[in-house]
Amino acid sequence: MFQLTRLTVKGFRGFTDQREFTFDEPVVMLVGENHRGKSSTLNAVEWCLFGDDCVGKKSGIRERLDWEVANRRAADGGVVVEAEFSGPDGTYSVRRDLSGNRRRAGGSLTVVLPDGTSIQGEAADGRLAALFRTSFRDFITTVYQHQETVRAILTNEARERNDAIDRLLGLSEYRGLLRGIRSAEVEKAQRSMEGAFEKLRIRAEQSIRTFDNLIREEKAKAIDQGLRPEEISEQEALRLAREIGEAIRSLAQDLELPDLQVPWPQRYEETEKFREWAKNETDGLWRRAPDVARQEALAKEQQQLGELKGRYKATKEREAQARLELEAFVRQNGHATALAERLQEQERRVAELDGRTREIDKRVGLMRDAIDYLRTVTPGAANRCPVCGSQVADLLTHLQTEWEQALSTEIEDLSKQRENHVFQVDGIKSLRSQLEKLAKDARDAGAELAGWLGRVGGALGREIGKDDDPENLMGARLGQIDQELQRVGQAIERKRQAISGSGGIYDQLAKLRTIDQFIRYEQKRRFVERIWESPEVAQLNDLRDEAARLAEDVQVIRSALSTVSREEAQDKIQAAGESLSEYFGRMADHPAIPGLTMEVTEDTRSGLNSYAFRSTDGTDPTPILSQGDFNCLALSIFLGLARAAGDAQPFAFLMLDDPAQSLGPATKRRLVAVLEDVAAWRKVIIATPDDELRELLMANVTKSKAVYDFIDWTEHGGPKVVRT
Amino acid sequence: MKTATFYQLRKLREEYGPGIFGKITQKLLAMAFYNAGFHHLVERGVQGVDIDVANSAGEKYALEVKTTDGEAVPISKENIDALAARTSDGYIPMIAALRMQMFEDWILADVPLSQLRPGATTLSRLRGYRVGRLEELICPAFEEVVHEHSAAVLSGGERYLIKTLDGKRSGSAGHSGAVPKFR
Repeated sequence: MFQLTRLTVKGFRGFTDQREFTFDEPVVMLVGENHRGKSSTLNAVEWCLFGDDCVGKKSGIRERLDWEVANRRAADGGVVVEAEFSGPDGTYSVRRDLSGNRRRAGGSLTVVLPDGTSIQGEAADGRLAALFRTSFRDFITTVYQHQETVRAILTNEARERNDAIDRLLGLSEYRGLLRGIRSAEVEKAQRSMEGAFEKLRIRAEQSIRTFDNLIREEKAKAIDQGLRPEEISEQEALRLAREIGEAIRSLAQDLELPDLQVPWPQRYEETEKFREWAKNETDGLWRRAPDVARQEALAKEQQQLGELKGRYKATKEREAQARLELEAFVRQNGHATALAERLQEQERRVAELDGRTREIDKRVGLMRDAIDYLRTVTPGAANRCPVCGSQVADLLTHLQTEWEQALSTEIEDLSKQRENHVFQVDGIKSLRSQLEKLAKDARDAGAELAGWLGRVGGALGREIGKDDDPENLMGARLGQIDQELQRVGQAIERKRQAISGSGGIYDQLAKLRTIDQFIRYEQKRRFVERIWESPEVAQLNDLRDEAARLAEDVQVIRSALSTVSREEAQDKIQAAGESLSEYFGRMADHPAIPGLTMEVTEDTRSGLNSYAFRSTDGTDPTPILSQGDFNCLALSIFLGLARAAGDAQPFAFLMLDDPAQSLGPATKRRLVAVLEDVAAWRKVIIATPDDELRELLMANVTKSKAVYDFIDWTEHGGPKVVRT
Repeated sequence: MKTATFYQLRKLREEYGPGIFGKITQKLLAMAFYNAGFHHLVERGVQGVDIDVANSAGEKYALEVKTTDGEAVPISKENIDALAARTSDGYIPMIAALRMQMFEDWILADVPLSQLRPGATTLSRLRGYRVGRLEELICPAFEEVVHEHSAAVLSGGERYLIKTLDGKRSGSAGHSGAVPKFR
């Protein structure tokens, strides 16, 4: 076995300047406050032996993901760790260097053998592996109890604890692999791929079903059209196309359009174009046929003449009505001359009354002046007429009476008469206006009728004489047109049968179309089927198979890893079992847990190891374990494994980093008692910030001891260490 | 599988229901193996592995036949035990699974028995163990058998297939050289 005897550290982690430690006593304590470089000292031994393996992700220790090997303040930026081991055949020196530009790398290794031979590089790596036969995993399981491991095991979260125990048992790599496999989500990717393929398959199936329905419908239609199932074929389509061609040619001759070139289809693929031609040509022939043109012309004439007849009749009725209204008016009110005479008479009467009124007005003026005068003269002159000078008794009174009675009555009478005559004048004028309007209406209606007569003549192609009855003339012509239309219609109908009658061209074209549709849907259906039989789909299927094989392989690997991890855990637990139980019992001294056994099972969901603890009485102690108990558990597992390793373990020392964390004073005493036993079979190197533990160790461990006090630490100088 | 074959099988299932259809499919598959040159043929209706087949080249397969509409087939402990029992006679255990969906084909998978667990086994998992060479031989033969016999099965049912299988087995007993197909 190999004993660590000396360690020189420079520029590593917390160290800047070079420091040297000598492990020449069975128990060596590294004591000091936190952050003084104690753990860095233990880590230096580890890094010296294992280089890169104990750094970063490879270490399997989460806290080391961002680990920096080289101290940033080191004078020359270089790292040197040299460890000396005494072995059965002498002293071996192992030195690991790291230059400034490779701050996190494993550096270069030099091994100096007892005979002074110095080996470097890969040879040194090989020699070191052969010499110590220990992996980093084994080292942290059986030699170096990490502070982080204890911390992790203290957690109450089962997953974290399982993780920590796996680490303690050196099974982190399996755990990492199993987690890696799980996070790769191969099965999920395969399911997703299968899902995508299934969607593709469903779409293709839907297409096939749609085409199957369409094919069925077209087949039913074909049978309704009189086709037999065996006639729904490309050959039949060609034959039908030729029949249609012949029918169109015959129709053209019948319609007196003999110059027709038929584009006979030679292959089935040409039938669709032919069908289009046949449809257009048949419609075109029809439009160009003389009978059809005649029918169209007659129909047009019939429609125009019918309209003309209707309008002529309506105009004629309006003209008659206007005339009747005029005659009735004349009968009632007299003609224009009579109305003029009546008007003249009434106007004369008005003038006459106006003359009389003017005369009276003159008398009235004289009388008013006379009365005014007589009122102003002396009473003696009041009876003398101002006009003639004659004396009249009571002349003023007489004049006033006459004015008031006789003249006013006459004027009133004249005014009433005049008003009556003016009314008469107005009435006659109104009648004259009405008469003029009626006469105008009658004239206009007559003119309009004359216009329509001209049009009727134009439509009938003859002059309309005074003695002609235009309505009857038009009726006769309409009768002729009707007869002619019937004759032409019958002739056309006979030819139409050849086109749209049962078995006619349109019928045949419809059959051809149905066959075409049927064949086209079948072709499309076959196309979908062919896609499914294509090399690309075959390639996709191969990929599916490969993915399935990969997923299956991954599953097998996962299962194997899980089994191996579990079996290794079982082996180690079994090996450490007794010691584990004993150490735990002694350290924890829990009244409810006389002893402890540990079981490992597979977590079926994750495939990871799941650890359970049983009290020796069969109960589950986990719910009542305190943090201190868990710390005892972690130490028990470590010490149990270390003890189980026995002489198979090449290193004759143990390194414990802060083993007393979370422990109470009594438990610390029990820990020291256990360490007293451990010191009997291993050199013990303990790093602790705990003065109480130091004192207990000093007082109770019977082996000789050395103490390195880490009394201070500065950024530029590193730890200040004093050996006591 | 061609859509026509799928439609024929679907018609059979509609006619007889999923239970009998499973048995019919098993017999049709047995006939396909026979036509593909596996003239030693044991098809079991009830106990043991569903089909034993062997050809003159010494290929021997014991098949558990499963049909499904979904993504998985049920494998029972009895199925696994029955397959395991046949390995002692040199038969390669195999799961023959057909998903009754358009464009699907038989999956003939030689899953190691150690990898089989009772319960639903997904078809995607079986894909990882497909024996492509055998599928290329059997799938077309199966389509041919379905095409030839589906009408007769529709009218004669499973009994028709039992009779046909019995007749051919006895007809081919001791036969050397070309063996008549199930026609």
